[in-house]
Amino acid sequence: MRAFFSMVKTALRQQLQYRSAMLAGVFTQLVFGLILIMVYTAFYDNGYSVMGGMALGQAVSYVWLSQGTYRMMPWSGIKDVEAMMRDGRIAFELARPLDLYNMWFARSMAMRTAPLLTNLPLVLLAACLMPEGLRLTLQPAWLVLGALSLGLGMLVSAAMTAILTGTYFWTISGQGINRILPMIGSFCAGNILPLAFFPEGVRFALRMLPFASMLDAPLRILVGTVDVRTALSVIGLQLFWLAALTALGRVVLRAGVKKCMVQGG
Amino acid sequence: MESIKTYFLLALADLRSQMQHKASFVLGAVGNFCATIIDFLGIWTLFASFGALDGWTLAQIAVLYGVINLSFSIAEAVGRGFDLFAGMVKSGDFDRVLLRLRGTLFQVLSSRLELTRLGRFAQGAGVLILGIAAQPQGMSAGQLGLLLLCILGGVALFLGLLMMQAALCFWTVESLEAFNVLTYGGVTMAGYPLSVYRSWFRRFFLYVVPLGCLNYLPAAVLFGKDLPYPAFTAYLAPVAGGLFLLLGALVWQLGVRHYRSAGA
Repeated sequence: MRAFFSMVKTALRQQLQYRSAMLAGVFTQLVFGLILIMVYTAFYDNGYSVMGGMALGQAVSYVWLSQGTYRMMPWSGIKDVEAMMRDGRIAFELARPLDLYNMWFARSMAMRTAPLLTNLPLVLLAACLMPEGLRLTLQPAWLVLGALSLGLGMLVSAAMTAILTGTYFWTISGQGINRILPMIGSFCAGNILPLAFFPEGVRFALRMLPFASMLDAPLRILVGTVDVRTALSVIGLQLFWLAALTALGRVVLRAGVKKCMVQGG
Repeated sequence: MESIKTYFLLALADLRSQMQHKASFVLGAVGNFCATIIDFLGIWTLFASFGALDGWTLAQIAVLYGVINLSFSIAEAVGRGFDLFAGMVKSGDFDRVLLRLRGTLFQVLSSRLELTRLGRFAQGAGVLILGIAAQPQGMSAGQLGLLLLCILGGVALFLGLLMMQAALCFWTVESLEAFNVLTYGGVTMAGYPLSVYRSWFRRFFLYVVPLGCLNYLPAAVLFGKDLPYPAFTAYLAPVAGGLFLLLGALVWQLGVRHYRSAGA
């Protein structure tokens, strides 16, 4: 736990070194948010008040939340580890007196948390100040369950990051599959468009996959499209995926370490 | 004429070096294809659920989307040197560029031809062809010619944008990502009809960065939409693109004059 907090602090400090890059990121997310909201509004204007259980106002909030949590998605494994695999520093990493999986999980978590601490409040603040129809509105009643689910979503995302990092044992260049999988994952998570907009069967299947547990689950609770029972079962599913992905991550890492060979020197 | 020959000489040399890592190139192109086709998958899903968008059908949107994505993919492939330019300034390599006899714009342009962008090109072309094929009245040769002009204008406009982004490096190498709002954000924005946006937003993309001239205005005229603008605006794409490219080149020259080497 102490190791984790010091990692978050380091990641956050790193993050704050590049303040203008961070602000540029926030600006980009705001513009993309505006584009999506205006497009969705026009789609709803085609004679729909609700789509897949989601009203327009809720879709607007969903877009803002998914823009604000954009950097929470597992876009890649831990970049440092990728470099370590190439230059052999991985040997030091394996020699540390910490459990490898726990260490990488904590580092993944720090990597996903730090940008959130800076970007999310800024995006949400700006989204609350938008003109009518583009503004974020949240129901206070759902904040507690929603925040809990968001925290679980970050843990699931960190577990996914740890698995991606584990694959570096096999592929030392971060190209290819490591580039494509996160794209597909973010699509299935609801990052490209809310899962509520998918046809019923597809929507159900997507929500069962682990990706939805990262983003769609907390977001649909936060914007209030579920009742308490559904919310609790969604959180239960998140817990299941967290356990399953953690177990899978441990297996991947163990197999990776076993086949890993460091050239001496 | 001779510069064109030199350009191909340099670009082909760069290509040969990229082709030394064939697997990496193929994966890059496939990754680019997957990453961009996902956007259209999203649009397709929206149409499957909502039916239409502001009176536009999916086939009509496919034309909008295809034109803007083709334009951007070509500009990205050709103008990748501008994208990588921040590194050139940071490392001091730009000093060497200044010593050579060719113009700086020409050298940066020919420093890289990024063929992995074939991925976006392929998906844009595929969507455009499907969109054209799905038009109930078909399209005449003249109309197809107009679309081709729009794509060329689009390439010029995006190249101008990339030049401006790179020229910013002469003042700062930080927060260049903000420019992505105009390139990547612009491509996303222009994938939908401009009429769905609020008027301030619309005006920005018609009068400041005229992305709307590239595909929305011509497509609206082609598909017989009500437009508050005269019909000749459908033919403005090459003009807008050309002017923007010129503007980009001017900003670039201004930047070069401002450049002070760190003396590396």
